[in-house]
Amino acid sequence: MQYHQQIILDYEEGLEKEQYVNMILWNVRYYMFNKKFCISTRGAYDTGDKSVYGNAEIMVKLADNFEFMVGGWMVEGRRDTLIGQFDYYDMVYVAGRLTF
Amino acid sequence: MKTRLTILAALCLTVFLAAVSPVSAEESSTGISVDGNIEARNQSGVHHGEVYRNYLKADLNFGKNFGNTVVKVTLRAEDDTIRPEDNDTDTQHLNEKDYLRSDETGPRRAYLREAYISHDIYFDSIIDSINLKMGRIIYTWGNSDEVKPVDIINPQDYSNLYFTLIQERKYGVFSGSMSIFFTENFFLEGVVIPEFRPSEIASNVFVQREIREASAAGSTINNPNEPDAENQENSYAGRLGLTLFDIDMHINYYYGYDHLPAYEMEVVTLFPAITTAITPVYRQVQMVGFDFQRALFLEFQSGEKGHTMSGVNILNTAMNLLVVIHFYLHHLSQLIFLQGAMVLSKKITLNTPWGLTTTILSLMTCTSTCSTISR
Repeated sequence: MQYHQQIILDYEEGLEKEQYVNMILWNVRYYMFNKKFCISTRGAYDTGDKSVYGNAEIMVKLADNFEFMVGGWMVEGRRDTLIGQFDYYDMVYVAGRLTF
Repeated sequence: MKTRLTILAALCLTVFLAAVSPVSAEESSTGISVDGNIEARNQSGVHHGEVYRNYLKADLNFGKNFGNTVVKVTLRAEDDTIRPEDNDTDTQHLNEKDYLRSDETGPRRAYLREAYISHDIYFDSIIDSINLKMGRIIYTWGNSDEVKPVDIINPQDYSNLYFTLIQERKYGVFSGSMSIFFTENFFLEGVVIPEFRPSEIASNVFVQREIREASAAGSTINNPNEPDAENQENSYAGRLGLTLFDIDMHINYYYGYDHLPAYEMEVVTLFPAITTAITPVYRQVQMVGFDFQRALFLEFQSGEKGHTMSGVNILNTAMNLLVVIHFYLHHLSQLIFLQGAMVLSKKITLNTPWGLTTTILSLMTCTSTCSTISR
């Protein structure tokens, strides 16, 4: 878990910038069944804009060198914010990774 | 394009052969270790089921030791539909999807992600050892996730925004580094980067709002003014590392180009209508950073002091503090970043009110601080 604050002390005039940006970032993983199964979530929440992007994922290790992942990304926020401008881009994904 | 496809096919074939080879992931008779991975991914929107990204990637890592010398090579081949196709029709102006791309263009590409030679020299004096490294290198500075103000040496690929992990987004930069280890707990590292590579924002899907609006308003988006077009100044970085009382401390310094641009807007015509042009400009930046990390181990035995606990609570907490100062040259601005990062791992059992209280207190204690000033 991570907390991040950005404070603008001085900036060129005419630039539209928030003086304070506060963000909470997280990255949580929980392994089960001898690390053959994992649920995880990561993302960030901007407390000023009240915008958030977050991910939830399920990973199954089908073999010693093959992982299968299913997950989704959720983006929420006002359209005029850094994160919220992609509010409409909620998505799901499937992925496979072979290591050798 | 044809050459790149040939390289891509050759690399894919090599990866396949390496994958099925009995010496894969081990050292062959020549002493070359080979490993890697292949990843396939599909990202689709939930609103209308639109396909955002079909992604196929193959990484191939080679390594070989020659005594105190190590050679490492990472090749990457990608077929990534989120990256825009080459746009050869207009070299002067960019469309909104093409915006800020690097040399390795197009959705299908094969490139050298990282390749370097590393050599260790050992001494019996005040200096314990010296490590020399040269090539295309990916650096990892700072301990926190995603937002890392000191981790600014490598450019990144933002075509999939933050939905790709930072370590996967990075491009290696051609550079040389020398690390002097006085003891295993005290080192000095210097880095010279004689090239500039911008971060990439070009994306078929995630186009920044400002660029969409500027494009919709009829503004011209010019090609970026890249530093190498006007000068060939090196970028420099340095780091001093010290471990004291189990606290890992680093003082970080960077003098070079910011990989993300500032924007200069100019009015092109006033009559009959106001038209503007936007030019991305890469500015030089100085960064001074300080970070420390301390691992905390808290262990509570069951039944201690009358508290009924059925198990053992172990908190393995890493606490980070980061202080970063950025000075943007020729640009008046000041920023302060405050950042705290905490890592919790190992088994945490919250089966008693006392255990729950302890965990909450630890969370509060480990909220650390970091600051950044930009000018």
